[in-house]
Amino acid sequence: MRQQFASTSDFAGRNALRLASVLIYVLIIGGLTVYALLRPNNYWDMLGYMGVVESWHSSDPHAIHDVAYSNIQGLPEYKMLVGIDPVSEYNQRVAADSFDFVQQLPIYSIKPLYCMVASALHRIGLSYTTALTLISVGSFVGVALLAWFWFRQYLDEWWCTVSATLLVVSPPIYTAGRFATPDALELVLVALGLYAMLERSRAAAGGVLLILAIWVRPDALIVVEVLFCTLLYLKKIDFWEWGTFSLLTLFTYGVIRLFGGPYSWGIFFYHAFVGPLMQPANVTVHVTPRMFLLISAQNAWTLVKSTSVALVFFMGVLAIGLHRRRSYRFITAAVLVSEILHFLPFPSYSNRFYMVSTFFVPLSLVLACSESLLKKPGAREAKLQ
Amino acid sequence: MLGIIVEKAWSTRSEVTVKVRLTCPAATGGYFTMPEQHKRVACQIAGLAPAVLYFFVAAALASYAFLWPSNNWDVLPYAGVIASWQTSDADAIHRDAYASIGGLPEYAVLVGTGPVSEFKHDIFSDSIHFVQQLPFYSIKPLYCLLLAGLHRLGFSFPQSMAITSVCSFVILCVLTWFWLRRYLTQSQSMAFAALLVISPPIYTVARLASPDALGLMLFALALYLFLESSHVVTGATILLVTLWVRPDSLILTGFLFCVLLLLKKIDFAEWFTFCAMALLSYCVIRVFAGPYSWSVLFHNSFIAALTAPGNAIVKVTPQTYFFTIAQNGWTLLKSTSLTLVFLMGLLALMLHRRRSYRFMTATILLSEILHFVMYPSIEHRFYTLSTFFFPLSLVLACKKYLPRQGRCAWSTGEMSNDSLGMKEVEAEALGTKVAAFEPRYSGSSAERTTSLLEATSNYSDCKVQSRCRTIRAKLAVPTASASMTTLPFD
Repeated sequence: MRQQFASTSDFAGRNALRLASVLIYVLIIGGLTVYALLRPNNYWDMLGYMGVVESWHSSDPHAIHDVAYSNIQGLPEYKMLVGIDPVSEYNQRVAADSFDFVQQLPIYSIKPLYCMVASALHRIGLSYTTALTLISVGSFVGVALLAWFWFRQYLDEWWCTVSATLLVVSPPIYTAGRFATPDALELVLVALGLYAMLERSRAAAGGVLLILAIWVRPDALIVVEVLFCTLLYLKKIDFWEWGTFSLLTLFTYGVIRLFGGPYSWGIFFYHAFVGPLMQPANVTVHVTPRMFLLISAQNAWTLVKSTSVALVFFMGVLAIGLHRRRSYRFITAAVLVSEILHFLPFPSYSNRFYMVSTFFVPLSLVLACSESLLKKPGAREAKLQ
Repeated sequence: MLGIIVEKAWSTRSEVTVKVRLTCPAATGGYFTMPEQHKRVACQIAGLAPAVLYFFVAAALASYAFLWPSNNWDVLPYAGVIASWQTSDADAIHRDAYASIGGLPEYAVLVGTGPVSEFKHDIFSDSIHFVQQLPFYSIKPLYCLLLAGLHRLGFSFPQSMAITSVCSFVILCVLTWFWLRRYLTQSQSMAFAALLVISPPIYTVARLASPDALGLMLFALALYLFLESSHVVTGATILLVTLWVRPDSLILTGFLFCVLLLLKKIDFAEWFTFCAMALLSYCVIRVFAGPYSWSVLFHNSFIAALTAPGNAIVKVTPQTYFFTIAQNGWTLLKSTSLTLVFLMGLLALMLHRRRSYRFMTATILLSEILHFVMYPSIEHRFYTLSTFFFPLSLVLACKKYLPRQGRCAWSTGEMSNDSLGMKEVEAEALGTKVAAFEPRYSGSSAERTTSLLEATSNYSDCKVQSRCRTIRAKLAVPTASASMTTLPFD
């Protein structure tokens, strides 16, 4: 009787501890979410996205410009966005001239799904700024939940809480949760796609999610295509599935380029990495090989010495070496390779462009090490079978 | 003549199984017909490539850091401290310090004209205010002495600082290589060491005019001596030296001495002596360098820079303190890679089989947190030790599970549950196990052992081959048998 009571109380105690760890995680993520909602990082790009959504209703540049700028008037970053403090010639010029402003829109219109979600939220009564913030914060919550459930497949609740918290708080992930950019949404879609394929064996669902990520950011084409090729190699998808997904991916990209009407790669490259163009539609830009190589080298150096990318690659190499599961080894390598490939045409040194690796690689490393941190005996064997 | 290639090797609690494949020399491009001596030379040259590549990268990084150092404002007060040893005239000290930065590209930044900085401009125009800054920097006597020594040799102050930081970085690179090389293959050591030393706060401090690189190098050296050699007293002495480079390392030094006592690496008398010497060093530095109080340092560093700290009366209220801690803690987490580093630290803590590594990892984790509680800086350079040691500790914790040579990470199937991370080319370990098993079994098993050893000889790693030769000589069984071989193993 006493033994039964002891085992029952022990079981209850363990359950209470588990519940406590879950509650702590919920509290942390709740706190981070509230902070991100109350103090979003209102970036200049939000003006571009507002302009794109507004351009679906009107073709008058003045109307588009007025709506976009009237939405940011109450924001604490207003002075920065209009280029007064700190002084920015580009921001001032675009704020003053509606024609210059609408010429910026094709740079943002190539993210149709993000703009559509923002538009839908705006339709239901939210302001543009709130809508854009909500997308990023919602995506962050999705990533945080996914990280916890992913870890939970292998670890006990306390380890899930610790690992998931440290992972989602790390700079580019939480930072993206506060930015009015599509990065967080892209991350959640790619992460969900990987989860569906690696942990749930749902190739179709995973493939669709990965293709949706391209509708959020067309440059996700690189990571998505590399992942599809890896999945084919791993025999997670057969040749026909691979062909279908690849065709859909290319078709998606083609449709976005056709209807989004973006500028050429040269204009984009110049605008993003050389110097902002006030009137990108009126200029002819020629990116010379020398300019390209110089900027790539310079930005690669800045990226390595000022962000966590070296540590992420360190963790990636370690995860590849440690993982027992072939699929994880290959997907980790594929993610790292795709980040390098992404850097070649878009050599950005901003950390937010490397979020997929910053999310997946540490996660993969923890899972590779989960053998020693395992919650229940036999779980790994079950997984492997 | 036929050759044997190991296709798969795995172990269970009771046996070691090796799947081997027969090969024909013609089919392998005459692989086995290569003379032994040539093979060894080629093997040695190939083996050196990762080391050459790593040291080439390290040399390039060091050259870049030396040619393009990041001259921050701290160059001026360190130059001022050294000048103040020659004269007590505030104007002369000020003149000497500012003369030393005359030709630097960062001159406008340092004097506060571009971008405009009220603080820097005030210090530039007022020599009394400038000398009032010096006690913040004079509490790093060994660093200042090193700079003074280099300056005597004919280097300018900025050059002396660059040399100190770059040399520390080079020593750190060499140490990292040898540390990893004790456990990993050349290629693995190259990859991990290069990624480690290039990561932001470590390489950043190599370019900074601050004692951080020197402090990191000394700490790393001391940890290496504690963990990888029996020179504990030398390591402890280096820790004491570190105090003279940065007195705020007292927290970590004290913790490490306690851990060494706990691990029984030093006895109580040694522990007491080292602790007493550490406290004495700290007191001597505080008495002779005459720094400001903690509250003045706190206010100057974390609230607002004081132009005349010597005249300021500052009171840090609990509210201010907690507010600053929370704000800076949050900034640190969301703007640096510290969370990932801590994740690696926790993994290393849980995975390490070696108690000493576990304790050291935990100590560094704890001391970084305590350091933050006292000095809540948002500058990444104050957390270089954790960024260096945690990834290194994690790699060493996982060393057993890392492939010893190339191909295994890309093998075509899921690894066996029982393989415990032992890959097909984990021949050295296999050889060792076979050697351990051999005396307990008679003739037939020795033949099987030989087949294993023959199989391992196909791999180019000289270390593996030399190990196999030793075992072969010990067993003295020259014949080979090529088949699916299963060995009983305890």
